[in-house]
Amino acid sequence: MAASDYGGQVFINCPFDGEYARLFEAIVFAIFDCGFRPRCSLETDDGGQIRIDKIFSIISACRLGIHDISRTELDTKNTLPRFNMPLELGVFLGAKRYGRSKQRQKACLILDRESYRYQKFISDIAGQDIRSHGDDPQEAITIVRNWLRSVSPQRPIPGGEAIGNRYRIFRKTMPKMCRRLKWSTSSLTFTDYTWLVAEWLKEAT
Amino acid sequence: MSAARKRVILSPLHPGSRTPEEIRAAVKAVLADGDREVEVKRADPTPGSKSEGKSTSKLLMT
Repeated sequence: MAASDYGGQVFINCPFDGEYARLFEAIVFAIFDCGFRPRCSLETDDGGQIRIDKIFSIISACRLGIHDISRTELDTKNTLPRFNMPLELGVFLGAKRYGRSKQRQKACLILDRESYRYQKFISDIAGQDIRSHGDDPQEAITIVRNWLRSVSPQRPIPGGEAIGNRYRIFRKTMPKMCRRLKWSTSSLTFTDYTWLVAEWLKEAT
Repeated sequence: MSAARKRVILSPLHPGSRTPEEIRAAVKAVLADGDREVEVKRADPTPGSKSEGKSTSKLLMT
């Protein structure tokens, strides 16, 4: 499979903070375990590239997108909401609507913490594939797995329960692997985490 | 899952702070340690010991 495999790349648009980390890390693991490659704006730290250009580039390279719009609370410091997730969802839907043939093959999964909550703050996305994870990593894994199965039925994909079991085992062994690599589990970068997941899945399964 | 359609685990596109070989070695070492722990516990037939009568291999759960 080529590194630029459009159909196998999944753009993740979600909050990048400690509060969301347990869901984010579970979703990244599930994507790898299903045989896909997760991509997000954290993957490179190129100070010379304008952030929105980096996001355009990643979205363009991914047929699939997972967008979590659950973070609607006001920021405690400035009492304003974060609009990055709805913006990036809009870019993804725009690429699908106005892009060339390859871009029109795009499919996206929208996640929130409760069913139908989106109707109160972003009702225009009605009709998209919207699921609620209830802030539960196992539920997020199952939703992502089932969605990947539905949009790529030709690919062999393990069951959600098997992925969840593997994820729990991985989490238990992760501190030991990090100690060997002299990494702190609390401050792993996205790229280091993804390499650890991919190599563990190759060796342990 | 049929053998003909075996799932492939893809590698990330961008390099991390360690080489893939270093990460692979750390993963292998920790997995091997886990196997050794399992062997030690399996070899302990002491009645009433925590390992008596049950597998402690977490990887077997998959």
